[in-house]
Amino acid sequence: MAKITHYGQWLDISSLNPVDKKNYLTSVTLFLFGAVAWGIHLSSVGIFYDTPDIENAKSSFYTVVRVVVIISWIVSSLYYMKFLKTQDELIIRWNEFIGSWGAIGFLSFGMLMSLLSPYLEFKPGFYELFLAFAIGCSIGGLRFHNKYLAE
Amino acid sequence: MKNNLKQFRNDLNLSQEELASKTGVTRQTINSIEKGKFDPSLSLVFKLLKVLECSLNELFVYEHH
Repeated sequence: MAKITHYGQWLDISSLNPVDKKNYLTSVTLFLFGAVAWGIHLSSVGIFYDTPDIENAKSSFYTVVRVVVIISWIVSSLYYMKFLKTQDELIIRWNEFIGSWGAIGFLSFGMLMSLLSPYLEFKPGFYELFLAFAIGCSIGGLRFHNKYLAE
Repeated sequence: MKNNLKQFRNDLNLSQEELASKTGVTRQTINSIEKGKFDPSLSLVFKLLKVLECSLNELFVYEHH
């Protein structure tokens, strides 16, 4: 079963048994693979407010890329659920904690960025909101560590 | 919630790791319960009671706030 490390930010991969390790690493690898494909997809619809590749947006290449995103993330989720099924209740709680705090980060930091955007002449987009989600997740991990694990 | 998990575990000469293994959780979970930081689920409580051979009232102390 997984051991939570780095102030609630990480799972110690070496603490996992071979089956859990396979499920976890497969899930993470497929997620990252899907994320790369997602990046390619974004280049066809607009990334960092650059001019998107509209002419080719409906090409078979981008269609295949989008199918790859959906399939890899669905399979990644299935492997992650398989991994979570064998974990104990503290790990499940950690998982829920991080997800909840990710949502709080998305709403609070994302809304703050949006409220400040007219004064800073800066328009928050997908990446800024994702960063807000990641900051929330990180705060959640730290709060979990302080609440349940700290000596 | 306050508990006497550490005392019962020590009485049986079990390490946190051993108790964790017998109840199907991690050492971190046992440690967190012992420190009163994490309240276990009902199913884990029953596993602990079985391994530690004690009753609910002996293991956990309910404090009304």
